[in-house]
Amino acid sequence: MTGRFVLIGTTVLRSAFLVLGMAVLIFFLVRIIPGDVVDLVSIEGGLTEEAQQQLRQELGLDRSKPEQLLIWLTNMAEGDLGLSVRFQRPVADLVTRALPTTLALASLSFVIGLALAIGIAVAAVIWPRSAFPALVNAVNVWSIAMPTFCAGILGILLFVLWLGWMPLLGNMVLPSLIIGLDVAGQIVKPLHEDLKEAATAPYIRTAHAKGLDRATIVWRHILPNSLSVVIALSGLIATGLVGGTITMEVLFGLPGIGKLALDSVLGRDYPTIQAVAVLLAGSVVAINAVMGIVARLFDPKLKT
Amino acid sequence: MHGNALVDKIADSTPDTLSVAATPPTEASVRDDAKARVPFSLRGLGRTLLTVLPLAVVVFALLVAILGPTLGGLDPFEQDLLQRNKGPSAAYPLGTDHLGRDVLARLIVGTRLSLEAGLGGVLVALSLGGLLGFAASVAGGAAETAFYAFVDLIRAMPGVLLALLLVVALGAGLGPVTVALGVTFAPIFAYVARATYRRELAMDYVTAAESFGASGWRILMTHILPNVSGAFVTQGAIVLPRCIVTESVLSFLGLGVEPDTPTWGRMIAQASQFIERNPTAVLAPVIALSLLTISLALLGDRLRRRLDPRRIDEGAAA
Amino acid sequence: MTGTSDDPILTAENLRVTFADRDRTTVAVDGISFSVRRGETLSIVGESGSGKSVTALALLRLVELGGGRIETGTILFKETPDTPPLDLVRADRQTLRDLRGRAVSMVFQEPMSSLNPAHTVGDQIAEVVRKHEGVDKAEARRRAVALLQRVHLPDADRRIKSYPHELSGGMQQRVMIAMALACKPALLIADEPTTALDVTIQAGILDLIRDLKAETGMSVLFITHDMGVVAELADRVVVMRHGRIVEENDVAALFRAPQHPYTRQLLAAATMSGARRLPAAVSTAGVVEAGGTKAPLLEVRDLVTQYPVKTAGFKRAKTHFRAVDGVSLDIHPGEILAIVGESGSGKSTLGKSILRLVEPASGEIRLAGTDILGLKRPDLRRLRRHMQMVFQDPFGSLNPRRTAFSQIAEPLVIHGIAKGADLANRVEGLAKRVGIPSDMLSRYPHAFSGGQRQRLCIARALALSPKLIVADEAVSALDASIRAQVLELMLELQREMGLTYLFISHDIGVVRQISDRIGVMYRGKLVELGETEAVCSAPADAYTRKLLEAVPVADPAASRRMRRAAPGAVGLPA
Repeated sequence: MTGRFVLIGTTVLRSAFLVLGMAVLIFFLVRIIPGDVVDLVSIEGGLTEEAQQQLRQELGLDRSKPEQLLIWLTNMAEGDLGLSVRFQRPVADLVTRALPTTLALASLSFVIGLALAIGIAVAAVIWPRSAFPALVNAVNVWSIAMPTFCAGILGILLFVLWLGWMPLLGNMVLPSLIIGLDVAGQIVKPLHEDLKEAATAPYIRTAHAKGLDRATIVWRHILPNSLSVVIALSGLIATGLVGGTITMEVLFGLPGIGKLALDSVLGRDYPTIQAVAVLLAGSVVAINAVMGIVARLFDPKLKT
Repeated sequence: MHGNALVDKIADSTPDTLSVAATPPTEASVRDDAKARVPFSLRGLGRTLLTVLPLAVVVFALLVAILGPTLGGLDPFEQDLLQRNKGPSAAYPLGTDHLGRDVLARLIVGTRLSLEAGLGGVLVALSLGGLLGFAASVAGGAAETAFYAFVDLIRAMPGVLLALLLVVALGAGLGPVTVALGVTFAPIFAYVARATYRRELAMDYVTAAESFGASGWRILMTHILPNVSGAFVTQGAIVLPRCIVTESVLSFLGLGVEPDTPTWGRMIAQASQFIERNPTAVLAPVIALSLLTISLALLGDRLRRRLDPRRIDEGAAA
Repeated sequence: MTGTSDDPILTAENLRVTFADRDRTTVAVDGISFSVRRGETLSIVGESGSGKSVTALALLRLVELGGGRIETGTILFKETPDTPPLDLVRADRQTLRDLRGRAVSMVFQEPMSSLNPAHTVGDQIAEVVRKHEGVDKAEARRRAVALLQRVHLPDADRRIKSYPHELSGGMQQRVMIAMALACKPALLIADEPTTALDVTIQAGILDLIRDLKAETGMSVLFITHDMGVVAELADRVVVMRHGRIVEENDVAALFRAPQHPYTRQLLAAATMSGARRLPAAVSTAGVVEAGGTKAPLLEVRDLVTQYPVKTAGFKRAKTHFRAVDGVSLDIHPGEILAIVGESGSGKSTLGKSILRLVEPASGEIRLAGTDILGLKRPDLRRLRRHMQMVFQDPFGSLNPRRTAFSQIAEPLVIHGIAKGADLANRVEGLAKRVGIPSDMLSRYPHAFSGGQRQRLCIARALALSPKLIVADEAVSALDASIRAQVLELMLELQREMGLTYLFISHDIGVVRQISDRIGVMYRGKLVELGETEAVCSAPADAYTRKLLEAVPVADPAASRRMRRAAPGAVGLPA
C-alpha cells in the first residue's frame, strides 16, 4: 500500500515540476519577441506616451522579468489566467467557453484512435497471414506522412462537397475520425511490434504446451503484457491530440482551445498565448501522469 | 531476443498460428530452397515496388527542387488578374490561384522550400540533440541529469504547440522555422544518444578496449561512435517526413515563412478558401506534400529494418 | 528405478523437421527414429545445433509455432498400453490441445521467461487443471497448493499468490514442473530444464524429477547437453549430432563402450575432470612449490568492491551491496589459480576489480609489487599491458564493425608497439598461434564461429605479452568439444609463454582439470583456497562440499552410488 502511495506522490510531484518548468519556458519564449503588448495596442489605437506608461504599470510590465514571472505564476496558481488584450476579457472566460468543444473533440478522437489501434494490432497478431499486418503499416505511414489538415481537406472535398454527406461547419465526426486515425497510426505500430514480441515469448510456448486455445492465449497471456506499451505511448497520444485539435478546429471552424491558441498567436495576444499554452502542455503532462499511475498499479512488479 | 525472422513465418496451415520462436534453425544442414529460386513472386514484387517507387518520387522531388527554379518561364509571383481561380489549361498546366498566379510555378518553388526546411530541421535537431546528448552522456553526473531534465521538458510539450511558440518567438523566415523544427525534434536524437551510448558502454568489447589501455577518447571514437551512427541515420530518416509535415502545418496555420512565400502549407491554406470553385489549386499541393512525405516515410521504414540493431551482425560487414 | 517394458509410449519414425527462411531451408532434424519406452527416462544428448531441442518441440508440434515444419515422419503416441496409437503429426488441433498439458507435458530451459510475468504462479498452475479437468476455481486452487507442496516449494499456500519475478530460478523451475505434473501426464518432456540454473540448484531439480518419476511411473524424455546429467538420470541415451542420431544405447553400455567416435569425444570432454590431469598443470606444480621463495606476481589484500543499491521512495537510503567482501589471495608466476562460484558469488567482479575495470572500495592490489589502486589513470593504462582479460561472451567482446585484424592489432597500436609491416607480421603471428588462418583476418567477427571468436580474443589478450591473464568464464559459452580445444590452447600458451592465469568459472569440473589451486567464492567471500586436489578430494568448507556433490559425474555407476549414499538430499535455496 505504501508503495502505491509513494508512487502516486512522486508522479504528481514530478508532473507538477514539469508543468512549472514548461510555464517558465513558455513565459520566456513569449518574451523573446521584441516589443510588448502595449506597443502592439498603441500601433492600433495610437496611445500617447503617458497612456502607454500607465498601461505598462497596470499590466506590471515595468517590473523586472523574474518579478513578472513570479506574479504571473502566482496568479495562475490562484486561477487568474490574466486578461486578453485582444478581446479585453479575462482569459479564463475565453478558455471556459472554448473548453467543451475541445474536450468533446479530443475524447471522441481518443476513443476512435485507441479502438482502431488495438483492434488492428490484435487482428494482425491473430491473423498474421491476412491483410491486417499490411494495414498496420499503412495506417502508420498515413499518420507519419499525411498531415491532419491535408486529410481534412481531402475529407471536406469528398464527404462535404462531392458526396454532401455532412455539413462543413460544426462538424465533429469528420475531424475526430481524422485525428483518431492519426493517433491510431502513431501507436498501432509499436503496439503491433510489442504484441508480436510478446507472442514469441517462451511463456506463450508454455501456454500452448498447456493445451490452451488461441483466444485464451491472446486475451489472457499476450494482451496483459502489452498493456504497458499502450500506456507508455500515452505521451504520443496526448501530443497527437493537441496537434490534431489545433488544425482541425481551424479547418472546421470549431470554436475550441486550439482555435483560441492560434488566434492569440496570430493576434500577438501574449497573455492568452501564455495561458493557453500552459493549459495545453499541462493537460498532456496530466494525461501522461494518470496513464503512468494506472500502468504501474497494474504492474505485478509493484503489486507486492 | 526471441523475435527472429522465423517469427514472421507463421503458417496458417498449422494448428496454432501464434508465433513462438522455437529453437532457431541450427547450422545442421542448409540447402537452397528450390521454391525460393523462382525468380518471380508477388510478395517480392510488392516489396521491390515499395522501395523503388518512393525512391523515384524522392529523386524526382530533389531534381525539381534543384533544377526547377532555374528552368525559367515560370514565375510564381506574377499575377494574371484576369485568370483567377482557373482550372488547368495549356498556359497554366495546374491552373491558377485566387490571385491568378501559376500553381505549377508555385508548387515547384514550394518543393524546394519543403525540402530545405525538412533537411535543415533534421540537421539542426541531429547536431543539437545528438551532439549535446553525447556530450552530456560522456560527462555524466549532474550535467547529464540537468541536460536530460531539460530534454524531458521539451519532449513533454506537444510538438505543434512548441514549434508554434518558437516561430512566434524567433520570427518569420526559413531560418527561424528551421531552428524551430530543429529544437522541436532535438529531444528524439538526445534520447538516441543516451540510449546508444549506454548500450555500447556495457558491451564487453568496450571493457576489453579499456582493459588493454585504450583512452576514453579512443574508445569513444573507434568503438562507440561507429556502432551508434546507424541509429542516428535511421532516426534522421524517420524524422525527416515529420519535419516536413510540421513545417507545412506551421505554414498552413499562417506562421513560419513570410506571407507571400509559396510554401505548400501556405498554398493549401489560401486555396482552401476557394475549394469549391477551384479544387485543383488545393489538390495539387496536398497531393505533392503527401506523396513526398509518404515516400520518405516508406524509405525511412525500409532503412530502419535494414539497420535494425538486432541484425547488427549482418549489417556490419556490408 | 521403475522397471521399463518394451511397450513404447511414444515412437518417432523418420522424423524430419525443417525451418524455411526467406531464401533457404534449414534442416534441423534429418529423418530420425527413436522411441520412449513406458516408464523409462530417455535422454537425448547433443551439442548446440544437434537438433535435440527441435526434436523435443516437434513431438507436441510446438515447433510449428516457431516456423518449423515437420516434413515427413510419424509420431505415434499411446497414452496407456491399451489405447490405440495416435499419430501426432496428423492429429487435428483439438486433439493436440487436449493432449498438451494433460497426457504429455513440457518443462523448458528458461524458467523465468517460460512463466507469464502478468499472472501469479497459482493462477498459471490452476489454469491447466481448469482447462483439462473442468474443476471450479476453489478446487483448482487447492490443487495448485498441493502441487507446489509436491515439488517441495516452501510456503506453498502463500507462494501461489507470488508472481514469477518474486521467485528464484530454482523455485520458478519447480513451479514449471508443478504445472507440468498437474494432470498426471503419461510423458514428461524436459528440454534442458537445468541448464540455466546454478549447479547446486540443478542437483535439487534433478532429484525432484527422479523422485516424481518414481512416484508416478511416468515416462520422461530428457534433453540435455551435459553428459554428467545424462549419467545421473537416464535409463537409455540417444546421441544426436547435426540433426541425426549417431548412437543409441543403454546408459551403462554407452558410457562403458561408446561406439561412435563423436560419443567418445563427448564423453572424453565430460570425463576429463579428475580422471586426467593435463600435462601443463602438472608441469607448473614445481613453480608453485618454489612459490614460497619467489615473490607472488599478484597480491590481493582485503579487497572490497560494492555497488550502490537503489531503493524506491523519497528517502534514498544509501545502501551498498558488497559484491566482493574482503578477499585476500596471492597468485604466483606461472600458476593457474581458479576462482569458482555460482552466479552472484562475486567472482566476475573480483576479476574486474583486479584489473580496476570496476573501482574497488577498499583493500590493496599489487602486481609485481606495484600498488594498482594507487595509480593515476595514465599510469594505470600503461600498467594494463601486463594484465589482460578474456571474456565469457565471444560475441559481445569483439566490436562487430571492425575486422579481426584491427581487433588484434588495437592493443599494439594503442601502446605504440608496432606499425606497418611489423604490425601485420605480429598480428598474423598471433592469429596463427591461436589457430586462425591469416586469410581470415580481413573478415568481420560475425564470420567466425564461437570457438574462433574466443581464439581471436585470446590472440588480442596475448598481443601485449602480458604476465597475467584473467579469464572470466572464458570457455563457458562453448560446446564441450570446442571447450576442450580452447582449454588445450590456453594451457599450451601458458607453457610456452610462462603466463599466469586467474581462471574464473562456475564449472568446478573444468577448473579441476587445469588449475593448480582453487579458490571458492560464496556471497562475496573467499570461503576456501587451496591446492586443487586437496580442495576437491577433502573440501574443508561446507559450501565447497555442497558444490562438489552437486556436480553431475559423467559415470552412471558412480553417480548412482553417490545418490544412494545421500538419499533425500534436496538442496533448497535459503
